[in-house]
Amino acid sequence: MQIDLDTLKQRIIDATKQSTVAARVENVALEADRDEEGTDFLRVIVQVKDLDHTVDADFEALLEAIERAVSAVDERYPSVRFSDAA
Amino acid sequence: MASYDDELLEAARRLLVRCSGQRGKLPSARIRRSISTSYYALFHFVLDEVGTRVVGTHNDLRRRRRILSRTVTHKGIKTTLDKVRDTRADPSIEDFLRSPAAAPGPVAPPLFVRNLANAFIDAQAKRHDADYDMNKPLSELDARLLRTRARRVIAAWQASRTAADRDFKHALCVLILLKGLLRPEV
Repeated sequence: MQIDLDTLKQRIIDATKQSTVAARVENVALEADRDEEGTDFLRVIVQVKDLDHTVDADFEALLEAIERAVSAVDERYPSVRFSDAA
Repeated sequence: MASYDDELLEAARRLLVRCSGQRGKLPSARIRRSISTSYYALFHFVLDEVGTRVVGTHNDLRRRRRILSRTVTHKGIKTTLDKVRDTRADPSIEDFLRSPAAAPGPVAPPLFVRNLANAFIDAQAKRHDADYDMNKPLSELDARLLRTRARRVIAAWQASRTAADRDFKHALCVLILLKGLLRPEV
């Protein structure tokens, strides 16, 4: 099942708000894409303030929380990336 | 002796190491190469697993394992792993994956399998962007997290050695050889 991107984005934002790095997340972008084999997937880009000073474990936990939040409602794989908000 | 996937993960790590006193952002090429290398570590780990579980582990069989590995495709691995990344295996392969001792019904892939599947699919998507699409942003943090994830899921797979784990791994490796399809798709 695939659900609309606005609903998915809100689920992702909710997951970020519950994370230990919530204060550093500036924005979330979500793109639906299709890989070269024709499989639909989602590209989730989390914009983070001061990306150079991060504790990897905190962002690893956020990545997994976003994957869980999306996979619970949508069949497309969410590939989560972190970019610098600056 | 380090396995090839170990060597690749070490190479992925070294690409992200700064020289003493070096500050600022790492060159994009190193970040992207590290991501690509972490993906290939997972890819070669899967190739090794297919070779050893289907052909055997004896040294004399190395050449046969490598010949078999050449038949495994990126797409075939992804198609297979996509069917076991959730808490329930895809219905099209449940019957094949079910342990001989298990009752009929849904098949739940073990956690170490789901974790490897998710890491592989994530790595493949990132590797494609890293190698072919410079418009897609990928950060040093992305590269570090992917490498850590690859190393962790490989270790968890290797540590899972019960009879049920071995049976599931074997069935999954056969499915990978079949490109995830028990019957040709129409």
